[in-house]
Amino acid sequence: MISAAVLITSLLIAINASIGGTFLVLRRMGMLTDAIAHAILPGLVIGYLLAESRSSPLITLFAAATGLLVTLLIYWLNKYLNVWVEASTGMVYTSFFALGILGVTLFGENADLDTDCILYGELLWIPFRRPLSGTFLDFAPWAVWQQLMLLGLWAILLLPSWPIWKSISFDIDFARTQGLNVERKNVQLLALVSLSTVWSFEAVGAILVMGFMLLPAATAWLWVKRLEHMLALSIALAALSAIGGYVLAWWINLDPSTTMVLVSGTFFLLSLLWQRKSTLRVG
Amino acid sequence: MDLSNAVWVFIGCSLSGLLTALTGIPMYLRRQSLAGDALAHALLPGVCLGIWLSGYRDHWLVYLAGTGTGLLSIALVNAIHKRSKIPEDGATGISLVLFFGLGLALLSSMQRSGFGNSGVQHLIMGKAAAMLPSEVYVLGGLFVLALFLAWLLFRPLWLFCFDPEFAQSSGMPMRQTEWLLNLWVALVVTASIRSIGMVLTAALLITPAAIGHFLSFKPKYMIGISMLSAGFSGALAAWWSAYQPGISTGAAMVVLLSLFAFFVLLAWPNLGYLSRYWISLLEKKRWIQENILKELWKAKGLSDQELAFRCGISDAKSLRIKRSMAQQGLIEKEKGSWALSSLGQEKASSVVRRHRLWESYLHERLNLPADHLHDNAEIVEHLLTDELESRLEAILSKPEQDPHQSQIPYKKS
Repeated sequence: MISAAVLITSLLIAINASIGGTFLVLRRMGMLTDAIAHAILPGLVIGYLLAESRSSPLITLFAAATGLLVTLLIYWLNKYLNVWVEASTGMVYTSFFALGILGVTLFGENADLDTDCILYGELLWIPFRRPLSGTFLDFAPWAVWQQLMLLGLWAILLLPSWPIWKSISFDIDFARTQGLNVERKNVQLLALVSLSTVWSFEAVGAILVMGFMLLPAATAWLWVKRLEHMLALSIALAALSAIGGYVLAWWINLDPSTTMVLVSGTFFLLSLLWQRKSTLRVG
Repeated sequence: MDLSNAVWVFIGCSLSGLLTALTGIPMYLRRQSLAGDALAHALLPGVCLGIWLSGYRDHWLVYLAGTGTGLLSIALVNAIHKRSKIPEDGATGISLVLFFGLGLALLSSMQRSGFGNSGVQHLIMGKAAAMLPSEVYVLGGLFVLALFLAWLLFRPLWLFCFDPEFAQSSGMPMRQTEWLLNLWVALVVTASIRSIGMVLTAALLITPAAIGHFLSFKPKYMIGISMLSAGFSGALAAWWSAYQPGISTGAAMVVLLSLFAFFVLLAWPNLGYLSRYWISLLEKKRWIQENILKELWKAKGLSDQELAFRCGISDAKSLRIKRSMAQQGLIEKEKGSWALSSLGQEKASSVVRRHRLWESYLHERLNLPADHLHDNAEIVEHLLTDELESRLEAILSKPEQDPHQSQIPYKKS
């Protein structure tokens, strides 16, 4: 059974995630995706408990704020208390994740949350979650609208200041000497990444979001050099692995989010092997 | 042994806390904490495979396969990092998610084919309540072995962590040591999964070591503090979950440990953030007070606004600080404006003396031109101690004037 709604949603999720991933991989902030993906959990739990429903904007707000808070906390521990950055990353995200798990196990029944949904996500349930019935929005699932909104936000963030993003991605010190407000751009980027993680979380699970972000971007980086090309290629790869993963999932009866990451990972490993061979040939 | 389940859980949780904390220290010191995180996630496919092949979750195959995939993930990180332009943290993330994805695929197909009862579903989040005595024995054995190895190999290991260049130059087999260490981490994490779960093991590898390192630089104290904090949080979490069986013991353990960590970072005397912030506030206040004394010493009968302006602070702040100085008996009100008391006179002349002595020193000994002295002396005048001051006096043999031909006010003796 192939559902168009699930396919379109996962395509959009993959595309949005790969846009954020491109910048994170270039900026050497890859493990921040790990931190954000784990750390939004307590925000989600608090949101669920307060809103008592699964589709309240309060949840998104809390979870995205937690994601951003975690990155700021990591930065703060590193800057003011000289905690090594990898240690502060590990400390902060695990503490948030543990708090979330504790919350789920304490109040799980009330919040309609369980650990399986945190891990695998519930891509297959997407078509059944629709916004206000009777309005024109009803024609597509909630997740599709969220992802379209996110795509718009990425466009608003990136397009007007494309050269700035370019210089921040490749040579942050140069960007600083040019008087660009690098910290503000950082916060904007991380806020959108956080939002993107929150909106993908329900569909693809906490840890696999990372794969959606990092894998296509890293694969693209192996092949091309220009930021425009890298972004385009990583979007294309993300789309391809979403479709391929969906078909594979349907074929061997697994969770689609897992197979999408595996397909994407296969692309990455093949590129790594191929690149190694070609560099050997040249050298 | 015939013990109740709660006691087994209690012993198991404390042991896995102690064991992972000890194991995490080398990873932390070599700045590879996140590699430990990746390794912990990457055990999933191996552990699943082991359970699938053997049918038991405490079979030796489980430990073997789990350790195997853990090591493979580190190998993948190294391969990506060395053979492409992808930076190390990206490589770590990729390796983590790939192995974890593979593990999830295995896990869900196993759950579908009827392995639901063997406890595979608890591998990721952990379920301490389901701990088997055999698993506690493994933990205990590993802990004793870890203590023995740490005692036996303490010096070379410490060298390996702290000064790899020197270790290499003195003939230590670096690559082999590194892989043996990774092997040990993988083994320990596989053994602790039952109590903490895969995702949160990273916390026990990283957080105790960070606490220990924050509180002490001495190796033995650092190790002791880390192990104690992790062991205690394990014991407390087991106790908590005995009273409230629904909670996840691993998560409780990590929450307790992290609370302690954040408490230490925030509020530990002398080292914590609050303490440092308080000290810097006091220090700032002292600088401002000394500046006020100096300005009053230089020009008598300054108006309040003029004084605040010369010290670069707001009128309100200057008023607040002057009130506190009046309470300390440093200044007193005289004909509507502030003047120095005899105590204040003494302190102010000391600040001015240090300023001018330092300027003379910079000029004579360091050969700085006369127009480059003032800014630095503005800082150093607050830092010099009595001892340094008398050294300066002796070195410069009590000059009458500073390089700008101002008199240096000496103590009348």
